[in-house]
Order: sequence, then structure tokens, then C-alpha cells
Amino acid sequence: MHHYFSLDGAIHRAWLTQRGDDYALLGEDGATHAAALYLDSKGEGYLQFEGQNLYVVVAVKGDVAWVHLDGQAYEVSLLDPITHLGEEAGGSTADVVRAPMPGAVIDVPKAVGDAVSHGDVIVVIESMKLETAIKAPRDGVIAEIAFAKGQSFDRDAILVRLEALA
Amino acid sequence: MTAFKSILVANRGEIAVRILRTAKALGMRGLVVFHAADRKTPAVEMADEAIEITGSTPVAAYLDGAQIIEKAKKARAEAIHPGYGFLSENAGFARAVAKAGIVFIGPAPESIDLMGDKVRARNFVQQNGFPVAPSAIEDDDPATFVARAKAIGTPILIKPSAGGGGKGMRIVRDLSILEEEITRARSEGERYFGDGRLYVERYVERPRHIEVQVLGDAHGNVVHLFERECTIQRRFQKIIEESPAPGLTPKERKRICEVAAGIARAAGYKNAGTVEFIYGGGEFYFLEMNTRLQVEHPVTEEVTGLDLVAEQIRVAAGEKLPFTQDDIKSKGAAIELRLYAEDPAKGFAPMTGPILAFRPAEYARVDAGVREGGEVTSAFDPMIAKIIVHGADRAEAIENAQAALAGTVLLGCKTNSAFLQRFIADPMFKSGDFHTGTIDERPDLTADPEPSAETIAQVLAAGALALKPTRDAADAVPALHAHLGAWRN
Repeated sequence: MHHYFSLDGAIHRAWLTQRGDDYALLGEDGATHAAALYLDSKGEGYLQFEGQNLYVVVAVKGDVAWVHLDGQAYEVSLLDPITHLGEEAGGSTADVVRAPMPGAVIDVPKAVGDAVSHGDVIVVIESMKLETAIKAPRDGVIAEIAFAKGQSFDRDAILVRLEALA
Repeated sequence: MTAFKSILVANRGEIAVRILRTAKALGMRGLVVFHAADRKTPAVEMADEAIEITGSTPVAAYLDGAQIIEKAKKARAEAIHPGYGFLSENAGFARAVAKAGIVFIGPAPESIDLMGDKVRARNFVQQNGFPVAPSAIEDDDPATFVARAKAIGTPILIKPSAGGGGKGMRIVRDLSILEEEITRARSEGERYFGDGRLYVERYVERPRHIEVQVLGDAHGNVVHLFERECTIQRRFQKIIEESPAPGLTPKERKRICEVAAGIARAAGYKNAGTVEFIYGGGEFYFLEMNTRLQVEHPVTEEVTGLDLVAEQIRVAAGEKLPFTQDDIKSKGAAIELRLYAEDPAKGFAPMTGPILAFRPAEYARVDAGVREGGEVTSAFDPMIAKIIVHGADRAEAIENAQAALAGTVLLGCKTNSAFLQRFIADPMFKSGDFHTGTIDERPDLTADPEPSAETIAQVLAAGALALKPTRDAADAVPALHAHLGAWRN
């Protein structure tokens, strides 16, 4: 079993389990770390990690935890496991590509019905004044391109759907 | 001082808080106008009276001078402080305020007009014998253009008169190829803009941005409050400011401050203003004068111990400056770091989000316009706060800045804090060896470094323990069974 987390944009796998009176984090390298979190009502306190007490401030909103640790802020998002199944093998079996941030479509070089290879650019979006290419997560055929050029979308909106694998 | 019974702040965010703080400390009623988007901000909460204004956009409301003056009259405000941005350099607004029988806390409208016109300001400064970058305009006399360009001295920057965006610009370091380069620049200008006329000026290598705070009263007294170095910029916006400027020799420092005070004196300048210079290779040239309080004014307050807003109010009320130039001393070193909601690794793109936690470091001056529970929206500039520190010398100020950045907690919205920490820790910053293009030259500092495996594990542990779904999943498997799993040790 794994949870999938996004930490400042990079995806990590980990599992939290009970251990004795406390908890342990099983990391993606297989290492186990004893951990416990003690916070006051304002989210300030310490993380007990492998016997060290680390000062932290933690704020949670939905499935996102913000952690201030050692002078820096980190954003940890718990990801929907369905979206990330199959990524372990290096490729992806995902049928859909979601918007990483809110924005607008500025170019659509492919069309519904086109066959694409892993990494082909299907849609180009602009978010926060930055262009981002939305690429095919795997080889397949485009079943849907949800937004036309000029249309805007919210974060996590489905941008592209590939025909399901047989 | 009871110059005015009440002052209305025609601004928002951290600068509204800053001005209200001094108004209250001086025993005056502090009023503020606000758009509904700012209802839950500290300025609105701390004001003795907060007056709602409306507009087609939040920014439009703060630019609506007529509406703000109406509200000020109704609330019997005796003076209006415009802060920075918005209406602060609008001579028409300053005139309308005076016409309404209210005191405008700022310079005379004529000064705003003069300095607001960049060509007039440059000519005024030059005619009064102060340094401007040598330049030559071909149109003035095409026959003598090459000779006039040669007289500027190298390096020379050639620009198409019709140009923009760096197209057709050429830097000439060797006068023997000047004419050849002029021919090429003309041909490029014709190709890009359909216009081959040219303009040349002295090019400043590795330029630094240095500005001087000045203060004048209605009795003919003008003083300078030393300089600020504002060289560290991204997208033409300052992000780190300090005083003293590390790049100046004591002699240069004295000279640049005296030139600034001289320009203000020649203009008959009243109230607080800033004279900006471009500095490089031991020379400096007038750039422009800002006829208002600057974002980075706290740097000057930290080294001089003066309250600039209090002095602005005093001068606006017609009082004399309570000190002479010799009374003003600069002590130690001060640095201001602008905390922005932005992602330096993505071209400093602005970010938005809720402010889930905001705990300013206790041992620094933090001027903020937001509070915990508030939000950073795209309606305004993404500056969240200014972190200002002082030290006995620059090295100590940098140390204090590191501690203040690391000790300021802001959660819920990505900020530039980690980038600022990397930047001021770099030997380049510590040695003061930088110029206005330094950030573009150092992508290694803007990129987010990969956190260590240990840091990743610690952050994931904190996140997994804090998030309900992962905690619930852990609690669903009793400890006994958990021990039988593969991860047991």
C-alpha cells in the first residue's frame, strides 16, 4: 500500500503506520522512520523524527498540508491514488490529464482521434503567465480534448482524455 | 504633535497600516478608505474609521480620486496621505485635495508635474548642473550626430529612436567602429521599425540602482537622509534594499547624497521624495525623482532612527524640519527584503492562495498588509510583507536577515522566502558584488534545489500525520498487525 504525495510538485510515495504508541513513515526507499507530531491549537509544535525534536508549524486545508520546517515552507498534497496508479513502472496507464493549475488553453496541436506517443504535446496552456505543454501520459488515441483554444479552466480540471486501454 | 485632528489614508495594505501607526502614535484619528476586497485586512481593522469605496475593479476604487475626496470631506479628515502607487504621484489629485480644503501630505503639485515628465525632469537636472547620462539625439542635428556621439565617450549604447524591446540596440566599446555600428543600427531600425533615426547615450556597465531619500519643508530647508541601494531587482521591481550602499566609497556616498539634496533644493521640493541614480564604473547619473514615500523607506528609518511618515505630516502642517543636515546620522546597516507571493523558479510568476498561517519573526520589523486567515488574491500586487532588519554592520544585518526570513512563517501560498535566503547567503551578495542584471545571471539561485532525502521524509511524515486520510488509514490497522508488515525493524 502507498499514499501518493506531491511535495512542491514532485511525486513521492509513502505509507504511515502505527508503531508502538507512535507512528512510523515507510518511505519509498523502504526505510522506516519513527515519527510523531505534537501541535498546539495554532498548528505550532514539534515533529518527533527518529528521536529528534524538530520545530514545525503545520496548516491543513483539505488534502493539503503546509509544513514550515527549518526556516522553509513546504506544500504536501495527498493525491488521489486512482490518478497515479501504474506510474510505478515508469510510464503511466492514466487515461486523463488534469490541469496542474488554473489557466487558459493557448494552442491545441492535436485533435480528437489522433494517435499519440508518450510525451507528445496535445495541448499548450498558459497559467500565471507561463506556458506549459500538456503531454500524452502514454501511447494511445485521443478521446477528448475538453477545452478549445482561448477557453479557461480550473485547477484539476480534466484537459485531455485518452481512449481506455483494451 | 497635533498638526491635524484626523488623517485619511488613500491607500491599502502594508503602507496603509504603516501610515495609520504613525498617525495614531501622534494622537491623531487615523481613517482609511477600503474596497470590499480588503475588508478583512489589518489596515481596515486598526483604523479609527474605515470608509468603503467602490469601483469597477478593486484597483479602480483606489484610483477614484473624486470619490475618495468626497468621503474625506464627509468624514472631516483634515489631511490625506496617498501612500505609494495609486494617486500618490497624481498632480491633479493633489490639486483637487487642496481645493477641497484638505491638506495633501506630499509635495506641491508643480513638483509632481515636473518630476513626472521624464524629459522635463532630465533637462531640469542637467540645466542645474547635476549629472545626467551623456546622450545625443540624431534629430537634433543629423549632420553633427556622429561627432556628438563620439564626444559621449565609450561605452556607448545606440538605440533606434522608434525602438523598444532591445531590438536594434548596439553597444560600442571602440570608437573606431562607431560609424560602422551606426550604419548597422540604422539598417536594423529601418528593418524592424521602418524608421532609421537613432539615439545614443553612455552605456553603464553592470549598473547599480542607488537612490537618496530627501526631505524638504515649506521654509526652504532641504536635507538628505542618506542613500539606499536597490540594485537587486526582478522584472524591474526591487526585492532587496539596503543602506548604506555597499558599492560606494565614503567619498562617492557623500557626493551622491549632496547631489540629490541639491536637485531637491533647486526644485524647491517640499515633503519626502527620492532621487534615483544609475551608478557604474565610479560614475552616477540622474534617473528620475519619485515624489512620494517609497516602499523601501523603512531602510532609511532603521539607519537614521527617524519616522519618515511623522516628518511628512509635520512638513505638510507647515512646521519646520526639527533638524539640520548635521544632526542626521546613519548608524549601522539596514536591509529590507520584500516577501512576495510568487514562484522564483517559474520566472517569478505571481501566486495566490489563502494565508493559513502568518507568524512574523519577533526580532525583526515586519510591515505587513495581510493577516492570518486572509488571502493573497490576484486583485493587487503580490507583495505580502516587508521584512526589515538592522545590524551594527552589514555582515550582522545579513545574519539578522537570514534569521528573520527563516523565522517568519507563512503557510498556504508559495512565497519567495527560500529564494531570498539562498540569495543573501551567496558570496556574491555578501561581497556586495552585484548589478541590476544579477538575478538573470544566476538561474542557479532561482531554481528550487532538490530537498535532501531526510528533509523529504520529515516533511512527508509531518504531512501524513497532519492529514486526516493518511492518519485514519494508519489508525485503521492496529499496531500489532503493523508490526508484522514488511516495514518492521
